[in-house]
Amino acid sequence: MDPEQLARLEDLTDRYGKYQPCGAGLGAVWTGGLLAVLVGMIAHWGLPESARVEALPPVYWNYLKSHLAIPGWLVLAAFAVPFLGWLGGLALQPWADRSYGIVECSDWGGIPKQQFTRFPVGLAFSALLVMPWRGWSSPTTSMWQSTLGILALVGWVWFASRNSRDRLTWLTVIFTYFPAIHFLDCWSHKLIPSELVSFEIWFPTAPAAVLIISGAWRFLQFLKVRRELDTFQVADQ
Amino acid sequence: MSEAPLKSILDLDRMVHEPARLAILTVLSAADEVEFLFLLKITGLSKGNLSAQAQKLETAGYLKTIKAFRGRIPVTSFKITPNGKQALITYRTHMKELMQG
Repeated sequence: MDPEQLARLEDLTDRYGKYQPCGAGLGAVWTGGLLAVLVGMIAHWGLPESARVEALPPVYWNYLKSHLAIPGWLVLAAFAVPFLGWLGGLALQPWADRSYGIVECSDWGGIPKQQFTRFPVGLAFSALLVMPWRGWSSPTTSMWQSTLGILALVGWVWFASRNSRDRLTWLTVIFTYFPAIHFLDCWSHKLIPSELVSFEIWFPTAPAAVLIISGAWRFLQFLKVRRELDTFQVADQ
Repeated sequence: MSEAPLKSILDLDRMVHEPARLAILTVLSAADEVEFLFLLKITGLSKGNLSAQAQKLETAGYLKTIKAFRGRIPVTSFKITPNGKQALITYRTHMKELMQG
């Protein structure tokens, strides 16, 4: 077996293992699509509301009154996106693994698996700490609902990222997690229009685009490496 | 042939030098964990031959077999051990020296 063939074996294994996770990129495309739909729903509800509020005379009292109450269905939709994204990825993965099985490669060098959950869990606890300060005028029941929702998301992040060291999988978890946490955090009080536009429309648009583009790129790379594997032959055995 | 390269040839690790086992170790060295199906397809070995070669490598302490269930389906995966990695590196160095010498 010549060194060229050995190098090719190594390269094919490495690339297959790198492009296979996250439903070979389709999981990210699916999650990015869900995030884009969520942004569309927020814009559909929020922009007319925001315009109506901003049409009021710009006096200080009107500014204080200009908070937007987030409808429950929108909070529920934002809360559902991370779970639906994750389930979509789970459903797509067997298709990616079907022909050649699973190859696990680390995309993050020597970082242990547990480290992946630290950042989102820390963020969720910050959101829980901030909530009483922000929700000074909110009813206690919705505070409890928000708290439980955030804790459920923390549990999900821990569960979803415990076995993965793939960068794109981690991004799908984080990018869907931010809007859900923010909406749950704001549910107990109200959003100001600028917060809605910046945090919930422009901010998730970029991650949605990143997920769709990088997912599609990974999928193309995966198809390419699978085609190479189909034609690869170890000549000398 | 001078004495030094001859000694180098005799020093080659035969466990690694066999082509099927060399292919298995090379694939495993490029990943953290590799499923049986992938090794089967990429090396082009028969199921029986792959199992036998993997068994020999495991006995030598060069790879570790991991048996698990995906749902109800049993799945076998392999992982290269630190000894296996070292053996492969040493083998490659020897081969390089031989080619140059």
